[in-house]
Amino acid sequence: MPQAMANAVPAHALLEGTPITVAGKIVQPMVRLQRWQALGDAGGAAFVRLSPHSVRIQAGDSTYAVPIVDPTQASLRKFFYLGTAISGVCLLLMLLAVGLTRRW
Amino acid sequence: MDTQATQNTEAIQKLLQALGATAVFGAPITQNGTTVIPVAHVTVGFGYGGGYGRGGEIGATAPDAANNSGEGGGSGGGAGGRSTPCGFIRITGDDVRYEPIADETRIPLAGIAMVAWIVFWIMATIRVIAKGVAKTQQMKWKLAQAEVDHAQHSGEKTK
Repeated sequence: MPQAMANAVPAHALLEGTPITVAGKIVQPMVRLQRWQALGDAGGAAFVRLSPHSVRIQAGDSTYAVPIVDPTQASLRKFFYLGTAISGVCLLLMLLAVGLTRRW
Repeated sequence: MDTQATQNTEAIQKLLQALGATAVFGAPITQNGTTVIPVAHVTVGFGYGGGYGRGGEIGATAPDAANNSGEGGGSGGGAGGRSTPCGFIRITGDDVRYEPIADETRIPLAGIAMVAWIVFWIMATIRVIAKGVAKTQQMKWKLAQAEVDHAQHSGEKTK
């Protein structure tokens, strides 16, 4: 396993899917790949996460992208940032209070 | 053993490479002039391991040596995957838009957890500040008491 861990490969990439033709438009999905793997002879582990990134649309001469935003992930991220910010501020206030008490 | 492990690794490498856009975007479905392409988040993880031992007990006597020749082995593995639908792409005429599906379970749960987290930190901060204020008041009171005692002592001495 140590050998496998030494060969650990994190990878992040933007994959282009096979274009499909829908209603006269060429639709090409784009996927965000996050991969971590550590494979060896004695053991190994791998983790792959695929999430949608956008869809590239080609209609006639114009090409544009439709972004894919996950509202659930966005909300959870906001909650996380809010929680971290509040705990940070509270920690600072506590340190300040303790420091002032000691100084007194 | 080494050949088998290499074969396992190759199979896993192939599996990892096979995961692509087709795992995330489903096949388009067209009905009444509207085409819908389902979209999902895909997560796959796995691990495996194996071990082998050999060798008998050190200092085994000749008759026992055959029984204590030592042997070993063992291997295991596990895998799991999850595909969560997150929305769909709707194509109607010239209009192409992504329609997300909000998770109605995770957001309220996260909200409740967040409220509990905020209450915990605010209460902890109030407790620390209150303790500090109480300690300061106590020290002020002690100082004032000491000053009064000192004044009384000095007054008695002058009398």
